[in-house]
Amino acid sequence: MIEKNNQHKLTFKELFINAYKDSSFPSFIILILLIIINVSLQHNFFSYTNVKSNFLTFTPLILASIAQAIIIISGSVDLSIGASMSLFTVITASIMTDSNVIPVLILGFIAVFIVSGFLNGIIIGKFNISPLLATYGTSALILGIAMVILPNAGGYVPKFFYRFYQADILKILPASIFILIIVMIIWFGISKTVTYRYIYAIGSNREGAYASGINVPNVRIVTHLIASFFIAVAGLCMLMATATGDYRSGLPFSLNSIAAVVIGGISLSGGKGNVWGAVVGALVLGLLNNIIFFANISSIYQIFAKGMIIVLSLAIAAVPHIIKEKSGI
Amino acid sequence: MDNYRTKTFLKKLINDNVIIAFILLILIFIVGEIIVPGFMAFSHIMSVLQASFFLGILALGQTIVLISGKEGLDLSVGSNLTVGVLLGAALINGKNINLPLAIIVVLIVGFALGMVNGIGVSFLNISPLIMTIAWGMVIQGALLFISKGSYPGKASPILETLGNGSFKFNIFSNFIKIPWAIIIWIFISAIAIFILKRTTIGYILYGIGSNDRAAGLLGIKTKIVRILTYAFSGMLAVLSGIFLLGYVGNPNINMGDKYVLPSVVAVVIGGVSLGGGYGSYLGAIIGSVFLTTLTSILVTLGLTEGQRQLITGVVLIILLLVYTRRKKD
Amino acid sequence: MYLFKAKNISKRFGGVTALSDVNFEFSGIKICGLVGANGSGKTTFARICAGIIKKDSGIFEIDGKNVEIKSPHDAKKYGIVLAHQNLSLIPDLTVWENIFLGHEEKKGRIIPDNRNAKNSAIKILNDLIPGEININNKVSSLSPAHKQMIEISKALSQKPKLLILDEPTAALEYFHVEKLFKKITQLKEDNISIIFISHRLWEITRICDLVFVFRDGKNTGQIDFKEQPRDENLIIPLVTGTKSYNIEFKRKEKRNLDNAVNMVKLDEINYKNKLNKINLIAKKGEVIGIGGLQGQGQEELIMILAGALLADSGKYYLEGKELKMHCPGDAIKNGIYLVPGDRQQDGLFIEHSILRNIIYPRFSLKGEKLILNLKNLNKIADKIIEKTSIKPPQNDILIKNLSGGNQQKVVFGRWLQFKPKVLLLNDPAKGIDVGAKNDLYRIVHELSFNGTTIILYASSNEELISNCDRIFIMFEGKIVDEIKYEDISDDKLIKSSLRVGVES
Repeated sequence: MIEKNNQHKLTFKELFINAYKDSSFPSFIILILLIIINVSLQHNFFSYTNVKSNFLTFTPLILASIAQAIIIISGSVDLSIGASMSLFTVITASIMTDSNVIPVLILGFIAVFIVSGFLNGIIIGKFNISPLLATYGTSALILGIAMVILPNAGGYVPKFFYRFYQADILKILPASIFILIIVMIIWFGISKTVTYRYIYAIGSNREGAYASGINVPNVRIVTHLIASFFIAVAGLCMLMATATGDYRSGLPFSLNSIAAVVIGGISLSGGKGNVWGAVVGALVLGLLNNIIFFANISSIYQIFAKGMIIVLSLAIAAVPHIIKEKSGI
Repeated sequence: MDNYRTKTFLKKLINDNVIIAFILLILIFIVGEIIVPGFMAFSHIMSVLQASFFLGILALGQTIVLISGKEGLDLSVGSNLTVGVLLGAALINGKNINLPLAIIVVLIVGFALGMVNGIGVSFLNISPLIMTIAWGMVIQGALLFISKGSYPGKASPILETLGNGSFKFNIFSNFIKIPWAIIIWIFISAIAIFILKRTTIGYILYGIGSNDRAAGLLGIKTKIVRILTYAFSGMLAVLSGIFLLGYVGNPNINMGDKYVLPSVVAVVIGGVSLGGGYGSYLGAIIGSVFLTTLTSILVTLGLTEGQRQLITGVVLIILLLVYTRRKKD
Repeated sequence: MYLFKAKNISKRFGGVTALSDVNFEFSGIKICGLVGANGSGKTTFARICAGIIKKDSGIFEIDGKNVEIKSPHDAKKYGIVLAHQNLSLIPDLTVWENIFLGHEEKKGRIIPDNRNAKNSAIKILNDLIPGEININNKVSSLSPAHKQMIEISKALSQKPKLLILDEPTAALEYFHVEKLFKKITQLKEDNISIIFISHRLWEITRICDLVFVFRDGKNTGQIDFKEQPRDENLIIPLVTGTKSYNIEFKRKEKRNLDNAVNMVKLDEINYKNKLNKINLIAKKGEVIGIGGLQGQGQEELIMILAGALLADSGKYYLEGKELKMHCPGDAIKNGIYLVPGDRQQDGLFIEHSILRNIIYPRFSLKGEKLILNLKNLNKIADKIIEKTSIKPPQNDILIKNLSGGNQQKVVFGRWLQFKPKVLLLNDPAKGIDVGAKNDLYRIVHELSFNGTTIILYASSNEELISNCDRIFIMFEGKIVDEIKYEDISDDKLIKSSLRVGVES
């Protein structure tokens, strides 16, 4: 009897209430709303071609947001995601030929691991520098490296390679979604490890984590390394989408990935939330961009609009905080 | 007892970080002399100081924002600077008579733009780094579509003298030229440092940066103070833009971007704490001169923009490692 | 036989010496009490033993061998585990995940053995507090008492040889304490030694074999209950350094306040679900206590009086005139000053000097000139330092380098530069040593004699009894009882707080 008490599995009602209380729930509702709006603007919204073309654009941001979510949950933040993605495209496009695609890609992954994963991890984890500043610094550094490697956009990407991104796997699944599914499976595997718990621990209560015997610097480094994998994949998708190496291409992703995480209900202070929230947030951003596009706003206004979206999304995300603040002491 | 008081006052003004910054400054000048003989000639030092002025005014805004705490940072300084340049040029249109009114209008605009940052940070609880990046993007976007690629107007003769000209006088039959920019800078610095260190405004600011909640309970309207701080930072940034217009004569939309990162680096070199509540503008001044000198040496050495970017990034990271390690205990 | 020796342990934090040549040794399986006022260094010592903080000097010897403890990992190697006072739990993880955090049993290298962990968690909890907690719940949903139990379970799950319990009973209800004591006795039978840190002397005398006493970071003595009686009175002088101690609470004299005017009046104040129709009158010069069990709305009441919270409805009168309170600044302008409960979070600028901390409230008042008259301000600060006996008596010392008691003196003392009409005290003596506490209340009574109305919330009944003219008891957001001077007693307070003998 007592055993049962201590371990009863949560009932469906409790599960639903848990989901409702989940911080990502509001963003999920917003997503549904946006889908409805998009459908009304575009009647073939759910057609295969349309979904595929949407995901071609959305996937890099989704991947970048997953990486950002992992880092933010761990109590850190990464402003260099965009620069790392650009670096990937620049390193690979500058030396790729028809015959060396795979080795070059591996080189790109290693570069991102070292620079985005290892460097950020050590500076933040071992040297305890504020993550916001540290990654602001590394983003400047990485940008510099990218600028030196390819001062002007260019490079070469073989046709068969970037065509893959637009292909259909087994004729029913767009390649971009396929990549997403693989990535999600990998993340699911990671979520079953002890490291996953430690990521929440150091994000939630660093001193407590240390007192529990967790090697905080190591976990920090591992977190950034794990995230850098997703960043590299994001860079890969961007490479395939644009078929160029360009040091500027990744720049919007740093801020947009943070916006996606915030929209997805993940707390910027760490220790709370779920990576899936970031996926929802990225989709929300993507659909919002669609709406702007369909409302036929000229490209110059779009920069303005996109900036406003980030500001507004942060403002709206802050509302529950404000309500909480006013009701507590 | 009086001696003791003076000593501690000086000690507070020149805290350890400022001394280190000063030493770095001396070193970089020596390096400069080695690379380019004649570097340390009086006239050349004057021109370096003059060039540092614009960064220095931005750094003042950055300093007060950082002191105000809550991870304060203003990354919209670049965009606001550009507002100063473009709007100033359009209003002045080459005529001295327009100058006073133009300056007043531009300062008000800068103040208002900065206030938006303050409102986002204070009332919506958005992280300053993210808020100011996003709002800065919005401003830049707005500038793009308002100007539509044409930048009318230019500086007036008086403004050009102030921005680019010098105060000439004879002493002991030596002909001395001191750039007006330096004189103005000294004037502004004296006022700024006095306000920060010897007035209620300064003490209030350091207080809210050190412990916002305690300051609130002690009767300070912290949200308002913070909004005003960001407003003043915006105003200082456009002020710098106006003077920069005088320095170069003709307006351009890309002037602000390259000042953003250095404005943060300069302030960090100067020992202003990223956590708030601590630091002095004197340090930021030294940091500004140091960075400007470093950049000019790098340009003389023929480094490309990419390489300079790389080095600035490395410098920031090294600084962060040296200055902002957080203790674990 | 188990032999534990800590010799000549010293530790400094910045300018403050936390521990100075401290010794702690015992042999055999013992339950050792560690007692001392706050700031005596006992928590620092515990953390050093557990490897969370590194000592500056001194040595550890276990079973005769010299050992180095530089990290929690090292401590664990030697079987030393610390059960914290609720600071190592991760709110968003479940109970069982928290219990095994940092020492999960793994299948292979990185996959945790969850089923085993859950079963072990159930076993540990059932051993301690059967049937009370669901291991699948997130820790954030637990009460403070349960959180404390999880901390203890976490320590137990690491199979310690020496278990250090840091104030384990502070958050617990009475029946939990009994269960904990049962467990402690059990542990001793299982050959596990215990260091039991507490400032509740009756607990120490009940279960400990010996007790060590720290004061101001040094040893002041040690009592072995095999040779001495289990008497709190033997311990107390070692803790306070004073020779005698009156168990009878020494009360302030009764004052005749019949002719005093009403100073503060609250009329039907409501605040969310925390305060319900509060009606309160405090006279000029009176010391009013707010009592009751913790969490019945006392803090909210103080904060409303301070202008830090806005009441939903009701009126607030000062000297007969209605006040519009929108922010703490309004309160301060009217001479109503707050000494907040959490000094570090709410009361101090830690990195700044004593001077800055003292003069800060002046800036929200009219009449403070823009350009600071530092000579004048230094004098003001020095006077307050002298009046409250802050040590060291230099106004440019940074707050972070002061002890807790001295820090509290700054939080409290800053109001002495004005003439307070009303002084609100939110648990002012929490966590400070006896000396500082006496200094503080001495000044409180001086102020009240000179006409300041004092409204005091204290978590300790003794403080309320000794210092108040009248005590209001709060229960579930309402004022349920008003105890006049003649009726004040420990008994009356407890009964009234628990609503004993009252029909619901």
